[in-house]
Order: sequence, then structure tokens, then C-alpha cells
Amino acid sequence: MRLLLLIILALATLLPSLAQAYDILVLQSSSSSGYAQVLKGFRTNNSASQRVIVMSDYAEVDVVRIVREDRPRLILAVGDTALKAARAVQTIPVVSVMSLATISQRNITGITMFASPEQYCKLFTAMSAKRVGIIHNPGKTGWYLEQARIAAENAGIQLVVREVSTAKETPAELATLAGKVDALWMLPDTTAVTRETTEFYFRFGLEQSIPLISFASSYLGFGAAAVIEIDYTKLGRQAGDITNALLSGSRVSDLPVAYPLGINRADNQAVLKKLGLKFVKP
Amino acid sequence: MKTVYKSHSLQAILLFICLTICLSPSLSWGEENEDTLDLFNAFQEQTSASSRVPKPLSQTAENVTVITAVDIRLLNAHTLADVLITIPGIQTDPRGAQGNIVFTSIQSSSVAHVLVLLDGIPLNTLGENFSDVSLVPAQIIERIEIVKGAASSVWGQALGGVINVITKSSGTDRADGGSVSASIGERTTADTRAELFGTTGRMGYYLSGGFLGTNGLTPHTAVSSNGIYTKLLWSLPDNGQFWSTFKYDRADRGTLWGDNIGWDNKEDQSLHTISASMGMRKSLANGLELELLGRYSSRHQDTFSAQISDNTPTQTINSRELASGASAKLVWRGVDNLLVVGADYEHAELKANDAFVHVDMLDRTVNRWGVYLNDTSTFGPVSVIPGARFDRTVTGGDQFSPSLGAVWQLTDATLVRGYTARGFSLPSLLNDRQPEKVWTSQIGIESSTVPYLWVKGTLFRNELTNVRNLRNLDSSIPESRVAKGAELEVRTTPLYNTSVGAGYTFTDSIHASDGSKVYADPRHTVQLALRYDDKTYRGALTGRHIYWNAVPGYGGQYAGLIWDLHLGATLIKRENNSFELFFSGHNLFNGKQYQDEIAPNASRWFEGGVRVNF
Repeated sequence: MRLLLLIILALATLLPSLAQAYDILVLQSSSSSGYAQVLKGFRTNNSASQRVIVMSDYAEVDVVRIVREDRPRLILAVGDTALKAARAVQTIPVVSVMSLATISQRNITGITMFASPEQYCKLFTAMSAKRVGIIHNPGKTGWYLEQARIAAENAGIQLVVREVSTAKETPAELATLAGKVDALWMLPDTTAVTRETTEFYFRFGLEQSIPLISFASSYLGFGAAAVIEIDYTKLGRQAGDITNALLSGSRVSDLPVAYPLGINRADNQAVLKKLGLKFVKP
Repeated sequence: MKTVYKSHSLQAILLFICLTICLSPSLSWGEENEDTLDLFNAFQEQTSASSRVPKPLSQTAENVTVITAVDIRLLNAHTLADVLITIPGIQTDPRGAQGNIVFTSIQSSSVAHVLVLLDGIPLNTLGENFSDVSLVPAQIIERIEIVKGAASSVWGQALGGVINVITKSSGTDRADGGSVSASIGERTTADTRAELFGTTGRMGYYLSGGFLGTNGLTPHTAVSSNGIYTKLLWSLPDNGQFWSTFKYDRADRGTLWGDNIGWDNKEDQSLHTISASMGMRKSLANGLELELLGRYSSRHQDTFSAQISDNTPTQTINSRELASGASAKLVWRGVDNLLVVGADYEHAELKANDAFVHVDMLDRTVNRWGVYLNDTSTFGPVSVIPGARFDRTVTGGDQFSPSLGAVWQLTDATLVRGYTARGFSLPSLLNDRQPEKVWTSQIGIESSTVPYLWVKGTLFRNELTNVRNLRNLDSSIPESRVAKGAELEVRTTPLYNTSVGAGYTFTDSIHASDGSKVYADPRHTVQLALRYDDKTYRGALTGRHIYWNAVPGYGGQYAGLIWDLHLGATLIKRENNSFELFFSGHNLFNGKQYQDEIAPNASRWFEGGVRVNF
């Protein structure tokens, strides 16, 4: 008991001295396993010294003060909460991952959570889908749709687009696609896809006997036919590359927000079989 | 001896519940959203393994309560018993302080009717079906899932419900980490503990060990116990996993002091338990998964009875239990279907030199097995959950346990549950008796329609047959009983890091033959909680009341509420290191809460400690 108390007191005394200089301030929104995977990948590609702050462990994190006092050279923001906090810092580069709000700004770059539209178009071509339906909020995913239209045109695919400004509009807009599309493309759009509306996507796919293509394997269990999924470990490695470039002297403006490079395709054989689709590897 | 049938006042409690409900909409406040992660996780909600495989609570027909490590941390808990004591619908009867025997029941079931599992290994003894929940350190617990009501179609003998404890794993993001903690309280009540965990490549580990002891907060309830727990994990390709666990516990404790009722007798217990398991989970094909588990457990228990006056031994009972077994499970996840098919095998041995109660033999070995099938089919907003299990128990004949449940998602925020099932509970391995049986029927509603307030209500009816209970006035005759009841749970989401919760369970238990009431089945159970956690400072004020409905002449007293206060402060915090102080005040107002005057509850006492996480 005494020995244990001694050890505890010794550790407690030593703790304040453990803080030391580091290159990268890692802001992690929470201890979620997805974020942990990203960091695992990041570390395989980046050996710079780091300090990790899990935001959910604290009531409030004064990132500006931490940056001022610790003087890291760069911030890696993992998740929405982390990016929100990192936006308050303007003096050093911020690399953002795992956030749909990742867009290029003066000192912010990173990796988007959208797979490149070409990847999806290859999949639609493999499914022989010529008309593909999309529901989205232009305010959130308009930029992506512009690029999707170009990729679709190049692949000979027609995008049938419906716009929504609130989640409530999604079921009605989905209904207008009935009979007009060969496949449904679910974008990671937080207006169009919510806890309440996901079911309407799957129901629409089943009723129309068309495949629903989504962006995360979590949706396979609910009835998505296939997904183009981001590999979180590879996402971390890619963030490591960007960080290395910035630490080596590249400017943020030289490194615009990138598409994720590590992409996996997964499908739900039961759904494909039900739809009578034979999958051709894209 | 005089039984206290004091008409307990529930007015204050009901007022608290009403205030909770009325104030909650204005009190609550949403937490910060992680929209991206939620979206990419398909808004996967809280899950339970009530069907032996994780599935959303919205597809779970049983009345299930889930407790996480975060909830446990707020309670400064030493053992599993300290957590269970705060859960709505659970009745706990602690004999002494932390580490000593705690009798646990669910919705007024018998103590022997509750199946407690630790990583899939039953903790229940072969002799009395007693689950020693105070031998499970809170430190090793990641999550507790409680199924209230018969769960025999999934687990075999689980008449009253299941307490499924899932231990911590190695984590995923650190090569090494751990914590050291020590606490000290009145009567030298001490808990010193250490844990280590980490992941290297495909391998992960979790190690924990500690000492829990006390000189006893009531007469002759001293405890001295040590234990270690280890878990090793290997990741296999295709998201498969191989794991092994090992747990060893030793405890010496005073368990009975007859002087409280003028009886010249005392009892001490010395026990050693070992449990170990090896398991593997592997994906066989798209949507098809296989899980295999092998287990071994032993419990050596020596109970010494002696006269208090001159310490003359009166009886010594040595019992040696050994159980080994294997389980196999196939899980198929379809588009709108989740099918679980599995089998359990157990080799059980029990040897004793004597017994406190009548037994038919003192040495027995049996091999028993069971097969089960459980399905969850979803049709739009409705999930239908049929299940069935066949058990060749050997000692209690063949048992068939069907179940049928349904969940209807009425709106986005409201769902209705219905569940009916047959359950059974085996008698002691040393007795040739038919199992006790139950038909349980439940209907419930769960809603978060009122902004930021979560409410769950359940009505239940349990028809028990072939019940024998030592608390009966004549325990030799099996009888039938009917227990009808209702349970209400409310909880708010945090406002300024503060939340409140309340639970109330009512059970009316009667003899089927003449409608007279069954003694020792608690009639009212109330749980109240006020929680605060700003990540630096944390606190929990919990209150509980159990109207024990004690057997006349047992001298039970249970008119008041027991209030506990748990505080904690993280004084130093780095990314991977922190230093915490914590403090607990137990039974702040010296409430009396016991059903038998031979074992009164502890009066007010305090403890405090430190923890270093690294």
C-alpha cells in the first residue's frame, strides 16, 4: 500500500514535467475507433513529434492558447469538433481529416470525405446504369456535384438530380425519381441523408428494384448494394504525406484539399442477387 | 424480533420524478455533434447483445439496460456490485462493505434466477446458482448489458434475466498505457489496483490486478481479496479475432454474525476462483460469421461456522466446483435479417463434504448441452424476433424455451416493444428436482419525443411454476406464483454537464393458489441519480430505496432512502497522462435498508483515493 502510494505520488509529481516541445498538435474530436485508425495510419507515415488532445475529454480546449504557448508547427484536426476548434488558429497550417467541412482556406487544407466521382462512375458503368439519381443540398455538396457532372458526362452517364434544403424534403424528392433512374447515388450530404431519411433511400431502392450506392460500409447492412468506402488507415497515411510536405516547407496554397487515395469497394451480395445484378469489377 | 411494516413514504420520490419530467425539457441541451462520423457510421445507435450478437437496441424486444465505462467512472465503483446497486429494476442486498457477498435480483426475481456472465463465462455457482458480483472489479468493465426478464431462449437457464459483463480490451491507438489507483476509507477499507493495456501490430493486451479489503463496516464482515485479470487479443485477417482471458481471485471474508439476533454462531468464507477462456471470431463469407469459445472455471469454497462465545467450530463445508465447456455460434447478417444459430456444451462437477440445506447427494458430475436459434427480421418499421432453445440439462430434464418478440418503430423517436418467453432455472447440481419455470410477458414503450428527455416504460407479468424458495414459510413444497409489475425510467441529456435520472419498479407478487402475497419479493424499487461531469470535475448523487416486503419475523427495516455521493477531480491532465482525486460518501443520512436483521446495512462511511492514468 505504502509502496503503491509512493509510486502514485512520484508519478503525479513527474507528470507536469512530461510536457515538451513537439511539431504537430493533434486535435482528435473523440476516442472513436475510426479516428484511432486514422491516427494509426498517420503515424506510420509521419514520425514528427506530436501532442494529442482528445477534445471530448475536456469541457473546453483553448487551442489558440496552446498554440501560442507550445508553438507547434502544424495542427492535424481529426473530426468535426477538432476542425471547428482549429479554425480559431490562423498562424500555423491546419490539416483536416474526417470532416465533411474540410475545404481549402488560407491556412487550412486536408482530405475530403468524398471519394472522387470517377470512382463512382466506374461502378455505375460496371452496373450498366445509365441514369443515376442524386438527392443533395447544393449549399453543402454543390461543389462536388459540379465535378460529378463532368465525370458522369465523360462516362456517358446521365445524372438525375433533385435538390433539397431540409431533410424533410428528401422522401418527396426521392419519389419523383421513380421510374426515371437505374441506380441511386447516396452522397455524404448531411441534409439529404439523416437518421430519419436513410430508410427512404433503401425502401426506394427495393421498391424500384435499383441498386443504392453509398459511401460507407455501415450502409451495406441496411440494404445498400455497394459502397465506395474510404480506408481510414490509408487516409491517415495520406494526411501524413501532406503534413510531411508542409513541415518540409511547402505552403498550404500549394496543397489544395485532396480526394482520399485509399478507397475500397464493398458490396452486398444478397442485395445484388435480389436485384439480379452480376457485378463486373470496375 | 419485530418486522417493520412501516408504510414508507414515496411522496418525496414521486415528487422528484415529477420534477424531473417537468423540468427536463427546459433543462436539457444538446451535445456537440460529430456529423461526419455519425453519417459515416450510418447513425448506428447503441447496441446490445441480448441475442448473443450486437444489434441496435431499436431491434431488441427485451427490456435491456446498458451501462458503459463512463457511467461506471462517475460512481467511483470498486466492484460490479457497486454499479448494479444504482440500476433501475435491480435489487441488491449487500452483506457488509465492498468485496463482501451481494445478493442480486432483477425485477424482484429470486437471487438464483439471475445469470451473470463475464465475457461469456457464467459466474453462477453450480451449488446455489449464486453469482458473486463483488468478485468482479469495476476497473476491468467496459460495458454491462442487463436483460430484464427470462432470456432462456438465448442463454439457457436465465429465468429472471441476464447481467452480461464485457471487459475492457486493449484499445486500438496506443502501444502501451495504464493506470494505478489507491483508495482508503473507514475501517481500513482499501482498494489498490493497477492496469496495463496496449496494442502492438496485430496483438493487443489488457492486464489488471488489485487488492480489496476492509475490516468490516458491520460486525464480522471483514474482507481480504486479491485478483488478477488478463486478456490477450490477436487480429486476424478479414476483421477476425482470436482472444484469451484468465481471471484469478482469492477472498477471505466474514459472512455471518449471529449475535445480531442473539444466535451464538458466526461464519467465515475462504474461496479461490479461476476462470479462463479462448475464443475466435472469423468471417466465413459475406455476412456469415463463426465464433468459437472454450472455457474453464473452478471455485473452491470453504465455509467455517463457529460459536461466537468460545470460537468452537460447529461446521465446515468444503465445496469444489469445476465447469468447462465450449460454445459455437454462426451469425448470418442479411439485408433485413439477423440469424444466430449456436450450441453450448458444459461439463460440470461439484463435490462437497456437507451442506447447509438438504441435498440429494454430495458429489455429482454431469455433461449437459443446449442448442439455440434466434432471428431478427425487419419489415419496414417492425422487427420480429423469434427464438428457441433446447437444453438437455440432465439434472432437470429436457427444457424447451421459446420466445417471441416484436419492436415497432412508431415514429423516429418512439418505439413499442412486446416480448413473451418461457424461462427456467436449474436447482443445485446436488439436487434431483425439476427446474423452476416462468412464462414472462412484457410490453413497453421507449420515447424521446419530448425534446432532450428519454423515457422508457415497461409492464410485465411473470407466471412462475415449481418455485421453491428458502424464504417461503414451507420451502419443501413447490408452488406457483404470479408477479405483475411496471417499470419506468426517465433520463435527461446533460445541461451544463448536469443530468438527472430516475427509475421506479413496482412488483406485485402473489401465490397462485390463494392470492396471498409472496414475502421477500421487493414491491417497490426506486433509483434516483444526479450526475455532473465537465471532464475535469465529476460527481454523482445517487439515492435508492427498496421496499423489501420482508418475511415476517426477520426484522427487516427499509423505510428510507440510501444516499451516496461520489466526487472526482482530474487535477493534472496531459494527452496520455492524468492525475485524479476521488471521494465517496456512502449512506449519507444513515438510512436503514435491509430485509433481515441478521445482516443490517452499513451506516454512513467515507473513503477517498487517487488515480494516475498514463
